[in-house]
Amino acid sequence: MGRALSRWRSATAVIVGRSHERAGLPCQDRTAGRQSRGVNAIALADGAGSASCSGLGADVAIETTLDRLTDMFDELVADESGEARRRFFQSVLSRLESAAAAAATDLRTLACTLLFVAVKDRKFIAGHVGDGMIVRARALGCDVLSQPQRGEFANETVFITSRDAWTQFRWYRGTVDDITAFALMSDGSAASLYSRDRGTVASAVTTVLGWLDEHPVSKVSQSLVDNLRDLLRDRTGDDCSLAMLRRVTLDSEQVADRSAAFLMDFLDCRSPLGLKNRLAVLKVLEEEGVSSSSVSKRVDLSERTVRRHRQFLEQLW
Amino acid sequence: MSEELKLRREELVENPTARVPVCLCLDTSSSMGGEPIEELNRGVEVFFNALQQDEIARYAAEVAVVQFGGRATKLTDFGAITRQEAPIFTASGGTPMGAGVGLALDLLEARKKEYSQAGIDYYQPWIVLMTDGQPTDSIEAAVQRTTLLVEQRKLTIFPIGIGEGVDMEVLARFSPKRAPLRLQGLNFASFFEWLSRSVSRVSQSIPGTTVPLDQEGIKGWAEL
Repeated sequence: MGRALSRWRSATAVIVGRSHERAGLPCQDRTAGRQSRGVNAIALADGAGSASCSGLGADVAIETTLDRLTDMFDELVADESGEARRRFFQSVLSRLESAAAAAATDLRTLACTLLFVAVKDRKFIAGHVGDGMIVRARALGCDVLSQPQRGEFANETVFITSRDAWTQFRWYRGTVDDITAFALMSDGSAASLYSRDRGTVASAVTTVLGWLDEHPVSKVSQSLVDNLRDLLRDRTGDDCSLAMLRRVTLDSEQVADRSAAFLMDFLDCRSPLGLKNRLAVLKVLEEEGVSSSSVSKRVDLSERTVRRHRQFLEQLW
Repeated sequence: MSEELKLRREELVENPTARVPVCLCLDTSSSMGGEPIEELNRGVEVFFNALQQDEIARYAAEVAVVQFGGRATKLTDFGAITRQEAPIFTASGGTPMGAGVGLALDLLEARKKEYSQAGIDYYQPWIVLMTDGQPTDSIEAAVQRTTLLVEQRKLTIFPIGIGEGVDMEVLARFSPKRAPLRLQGLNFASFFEWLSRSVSRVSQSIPGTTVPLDQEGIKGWAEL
């Protein structure tokens, strides 16, 4: 039988929009994922078209967000007074201010939206300012956790650098007991991935989330880029970006079914031999109450090596 | 075995293109008779054709036409420009500019409500107001409405004066942020070509930007 292995995996993709290319503007969307200290996080920022350094703003906003999510997760998830959230926000803003000063420019030229989700143990936190959307996947399908903030007109939204950014900042938190994945999308992507009049998420999102169940992260990220470029680019002039965070769960039958490339990525193995050893240890550990020394004898690896594999696998059970 | 991970088009959704609503509010009073109204007709036809042939603007632009000559009437309501034809104008009567602008504003409000109900995005609407004379009705209510909307950044209004007899000060009252311009002679065609390019630029604009107008192009039709 065996216990299921489960871990959060992320994949991200960005493509430059046709209007940006035509206007000679660089891509101003940024997205990244990070896994550190038990926190799995993704963040996405869409630089304002008119802001000359918004690509820089998006970079800084993402990096600071991922740093703070890693070191402040516990405080943020427990925050009742809003004080931790305020510190988080201030931290992002002051890094943006420093970056603006270093580039000898005004803060407003770094304007961007910001979206993020972080998961640790059974809890999640998410935040959103501006347009774009945060989607979550549950048993019944995908729905929207956070809608875009829009002004009355098509090209109006709030940015992290806007005067009212703090009051417009939306926070979410909860447990991930019934959530299997999150996705962040910029407005450009949402144009093809969310139906505004029906209020439903496109089946494409479920499909791409499912890719993480069977393929290594690097392949999924590259495939996302290829698909965004082939399918979404001609439907919108805007930059398109997408970040996904999915809990990939495998029982022993599914482990046996997966490709070596997937398993090396999923089980953090750097070589086929490393993978072979880890799988051998896993197989024996599926029996209850087996000691490391016993495993060591059965798989012909040192006890120290077995303990190392065991430590890794225990995080996934 | 390297499998290609591909989405199918059917897995994506179509959302309606963000609309650019433009209302032409045009003086067709008796003084516009003869060459002016002929040139106006030609210019508006140029406008419709240019938008219909523009790859992106044809899905985004929506044009309503109001005339004020004798009475203020709606000649064309907002709708898909690919299904519209340029209306034909004839000149007669006085110049009920107040009623004309009021009607244009009413049409815009109604259309914005329809967009909101249908979940369709739209850009800031435009009113193009063209006249060759003085109003023969009260413009106070209309001026109040346009001034408020412009100050709230909910409307852009282009007031354009035609010929020698136009009262530019009256036109200026409708538009607190943009001074009225005088058309070069009867150069409607150049103006409407510029206008169609401007609408096209908005429909291709990058979200988060305000669309700068083609200032150089204005020299092609306005007396500066």
